[in-house]
Amino acid sequence: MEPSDAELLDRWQKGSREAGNELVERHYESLERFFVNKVPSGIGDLVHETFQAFLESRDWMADPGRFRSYLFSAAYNVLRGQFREKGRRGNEVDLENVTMKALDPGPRSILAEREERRLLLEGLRSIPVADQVLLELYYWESLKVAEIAKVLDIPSGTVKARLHRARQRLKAITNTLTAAPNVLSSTLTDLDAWARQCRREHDIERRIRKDWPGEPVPEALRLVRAVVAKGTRKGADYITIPLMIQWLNEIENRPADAHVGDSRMIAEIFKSATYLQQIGLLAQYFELTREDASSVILDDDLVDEALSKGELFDPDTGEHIEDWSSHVVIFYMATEALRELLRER
Amino acid sequence: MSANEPADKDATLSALIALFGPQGVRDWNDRAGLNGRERFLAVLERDLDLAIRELESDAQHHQDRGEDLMTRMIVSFLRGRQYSVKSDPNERGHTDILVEHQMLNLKWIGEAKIHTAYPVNAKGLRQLLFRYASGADDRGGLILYVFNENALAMMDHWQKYLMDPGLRMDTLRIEPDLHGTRFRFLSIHKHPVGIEFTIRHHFVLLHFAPRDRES
Repeated sequence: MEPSDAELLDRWQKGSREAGNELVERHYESLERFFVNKVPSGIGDLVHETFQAFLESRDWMADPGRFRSYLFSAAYNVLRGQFREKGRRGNEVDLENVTMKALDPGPRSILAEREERRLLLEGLRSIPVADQVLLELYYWESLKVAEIAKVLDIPSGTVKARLHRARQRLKAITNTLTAAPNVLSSTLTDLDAWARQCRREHDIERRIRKDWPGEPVPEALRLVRAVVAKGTRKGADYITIPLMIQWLNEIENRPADAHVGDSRMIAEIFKSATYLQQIGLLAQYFELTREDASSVILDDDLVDEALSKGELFDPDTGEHIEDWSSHVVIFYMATEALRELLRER
Repeated sequence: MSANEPADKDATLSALIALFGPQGVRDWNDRAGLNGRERFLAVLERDLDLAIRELESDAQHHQDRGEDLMTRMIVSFLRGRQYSVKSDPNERGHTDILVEHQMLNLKWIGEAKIHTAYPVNAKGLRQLLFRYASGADDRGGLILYVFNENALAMMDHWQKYLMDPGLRMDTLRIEPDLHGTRFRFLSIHKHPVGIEFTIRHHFVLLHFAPRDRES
């Protein structure tokens, strides 16, 4: 059985570096999510600073079972400190009134390409930081009201009242951000589902960035971004390389015919799709398209044999296919992990 | 063909064969995991050999470089081949190289060391076998950066060393590697979970002492 946070903390205190590593590893993603929609860069440093402040404060020793509350409390203080230091000339920032949008304009999430999710993230950044933190801890981190009360050092009743107020504010703000409020109506009534999607997006983005450190936007992430922005659940079963080029052109504001037939682009997409299969987001298939417009999905080993021998026989009729490779289409299917981010249409 | 898709030649295998050749496309399919775990591991080992060949061809520039930098160069090479690969990740401790394939449910762990002394190599190997490898997978690699002369003799000695029961590496047997250069071999160990765990040993030849300018 996995050791609890309190047990790991105890072992860490007694000098076990391994226990410390495990604890940091366990909560790193949550802290990243806490900072990601609030600061433009240096998130790793803030997470590190949070762990350091947490250990130094020793407040948690009174109640190690409430580890996450104390940790987010430390993160909230680090965030305050960050605002004090940067651009505010050492003055305390009133998080009850100031918004992230005012403090640091600009979109944060790379993956949040879909209109309603982008608007919600933007909406969160447009309400007071204290409300934003409240909603994110409640919906993204699933903290209970009592735990949030501990983080913000306010009574539970106040948390409930503020949650209600924050939801109202978010709803009002997001409606002003879009000319089509109906885009948001279903999302606003199901903030839990939206929060789950935000977490999934964040997890995917984090996963890819860990494999490609130092690259501002890795190729694979651009590709996922295009699929999430333009793909639909219905169309997730048949994604070809030219279709991905088309989607990339659309989201990166290039002419529709840009890179069509561009062998470098085809190679890059094929290679990135290989990686996306390794991390479980896409699955690759081969389809033999016949002259009579019928088609059949080919087994991977049949394609492998065709590539090895240079010839292909129709698996149904046994007929030798002339110019076989021109009749075999490669397409990708979004796996369940990616499909969850695609819109229902 | 599904409706409304741009079904042109760029969507077909012919476009990819024109770019990578038939064997190149097979290799990419293997990296994607289409042909199973053995083929994935085989292409990974071939790519690893190419990364090592690159390092060796630049031996004169690596004489003062630490093992971390050289390992990062190997990792960068593998990243260029689109592996999900990390250097120094925390995987039951800090491994040097971790390659993961989620679809195949596979993790390949590599440990890299500058060869200084056999006990140091043995320590690295023991870490890999008995600490980092959970036993859910059965393959890994040891990469030894060798600056000494006569790497072949060193490899022979290392093989004998591995079979010494007093060193607690639970080596079952040594086998030749049929796919790499002569500076590769396999050692098969009894992993604590009961499986046989195969380590591929890679000797990176970095000895550089040109004699062309000697009088």
